[in-house]
Amino acid sequence: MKTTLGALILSVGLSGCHSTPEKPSTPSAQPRVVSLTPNLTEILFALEAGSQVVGVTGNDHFPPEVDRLPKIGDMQLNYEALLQLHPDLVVYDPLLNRQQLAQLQKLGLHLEPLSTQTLPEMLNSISRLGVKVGKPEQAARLVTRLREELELCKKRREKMNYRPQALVEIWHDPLIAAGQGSYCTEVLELAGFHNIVSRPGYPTIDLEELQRLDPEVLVLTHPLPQTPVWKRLKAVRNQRVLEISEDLLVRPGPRVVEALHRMQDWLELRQPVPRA
Amino acid sequence: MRSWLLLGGLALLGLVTLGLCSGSYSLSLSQVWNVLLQGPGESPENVVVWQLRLPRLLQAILVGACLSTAGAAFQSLLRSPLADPYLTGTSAGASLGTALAVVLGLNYGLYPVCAFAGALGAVLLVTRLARIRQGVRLEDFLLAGVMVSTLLGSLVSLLMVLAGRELSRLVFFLLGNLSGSNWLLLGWCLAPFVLGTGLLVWNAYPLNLLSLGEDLAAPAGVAVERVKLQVLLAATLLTASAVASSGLVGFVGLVIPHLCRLWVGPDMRKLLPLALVWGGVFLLGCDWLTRLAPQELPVGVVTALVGAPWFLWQLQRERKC
Repeated sequence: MKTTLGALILSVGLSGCHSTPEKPSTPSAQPRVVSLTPNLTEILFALEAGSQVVGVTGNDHFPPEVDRLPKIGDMQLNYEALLQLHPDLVVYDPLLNRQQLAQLQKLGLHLEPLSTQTLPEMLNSISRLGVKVGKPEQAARLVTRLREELELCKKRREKMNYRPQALVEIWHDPLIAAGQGSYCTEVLELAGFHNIVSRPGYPTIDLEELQRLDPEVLVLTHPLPQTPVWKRLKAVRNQRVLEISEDLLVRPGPRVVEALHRMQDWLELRQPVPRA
Repeated sequence: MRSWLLLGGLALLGLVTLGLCSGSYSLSLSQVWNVLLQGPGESPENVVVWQLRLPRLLQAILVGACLSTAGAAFQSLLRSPLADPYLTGTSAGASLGTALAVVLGLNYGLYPVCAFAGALGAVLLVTRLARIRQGVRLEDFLLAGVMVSTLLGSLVSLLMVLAGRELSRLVFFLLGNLSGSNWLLLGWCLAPFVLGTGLLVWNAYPLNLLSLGEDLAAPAGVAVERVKLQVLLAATLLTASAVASSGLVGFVGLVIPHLCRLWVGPDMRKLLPLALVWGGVFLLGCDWLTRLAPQELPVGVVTALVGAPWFLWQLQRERKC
């Protein structure tokens, strides 16, 4: 049940991986686009295709312009509102929108699945999205810039002498952490941390397990719970708690670079905790 | 009765020991013993025992005892074998209180307060609806309880749709969950528990007479309306504090009283203490099972999963005798 909950929580925060038959693309040069996940919306705006976005989900808050756009539901899509917008293109994440896919396919829309569960997948999706919305040059530029930035982050990581074990909190009650093979772990390790959680995906961690793991660093996307159980943790006592906006860390998009800079700046200012 | 009570006490002791030694942080019995002797402290072992396991075990006992005694009281008062502590709108009221707290984004510490307020509010409403001139008619009370529960339940569903990401909290609340136990919460539950069980024990004998019918109880010297109100109030307090601290743990309040009645008969003077102990034993046992699962389960799922077959087996055995 918690797995379902975890998936539920994540799917709102994140923005995937099986293929669906593609429909022939519409000839329109500047198609009207509806985005079904917040991270794809961010990518569209980064491609300077913001003016073509005609609808987003209720979970979209970045960039601020999206607040003015029509909302077509969140976990539960409002299919009529979606049709009302007459989109030429609907972009979605095959993993996160899998429950809505059967219904979407009946509506005669032009659907485009774009997976973003890993950094290479995300870069690939940016290129494909660029072609679909008539911004191939912008996409190529963005991908090149992101590749360079990621490369710089890797180089910066090589120079660091502090590479602590960290636990990334994705949700606080119940505690859900980023596990092996997840997008968050990829970003975390690129920044220079090691993920202390060995379970795959996004596992629920009970508080006893948290005590057992007792990570050197806590990366939190929500405020630190003010309970004795949390306050006792090594990371809290040594003030090794890195708070980072959930959107930056969890949503695979161009702002990943910001997340990486933030984590690496934090790491460079710190030294390994001397053993008591 | 003595032997059942003794057995219950031993079961409690055994389960507490077992509970203190099991969990995902591995600790041996001697380690646990040492930590207990040290008193609360800072080491990880100490935090696991003193801040996680001990409050949770005590909370399980307290909540089980609350629900089970409240159930016994309602069943006797309403003379209905199907009565359970949630019948009177407490569960729906507490759910609504919690759902509102979640949707309004209140501080987590306030959730139990909102749940408690919701539960009391719902019961006051039910009692008000069932009140005619000088007394409460129990049939009306039952009906009003069911209707108010339905009404508030639909409001909870509405809020759940609006809750979005915070939905997980509500789901855990609605299934009953002991993993949020802490000393503060335990302290808050203690006063209603003492007051509630005290009032019930005080009224145990009048309740026995009352179960013969109001017409017979009044001439025997029972202040019928006062007893009814006191019992309703006490059972409600017990339920509200259980729900506020641990969500809707189902089944305990319905079945443990029945089970105890099979063992000692309907005399409330025997039934109440037994229900109190065995409610604690049952919930403690179920909570221990939830912690054995690879993914921790909400305790409400286990109570029904374990409780229903157990009860049916007991019932079959009793019928054959």
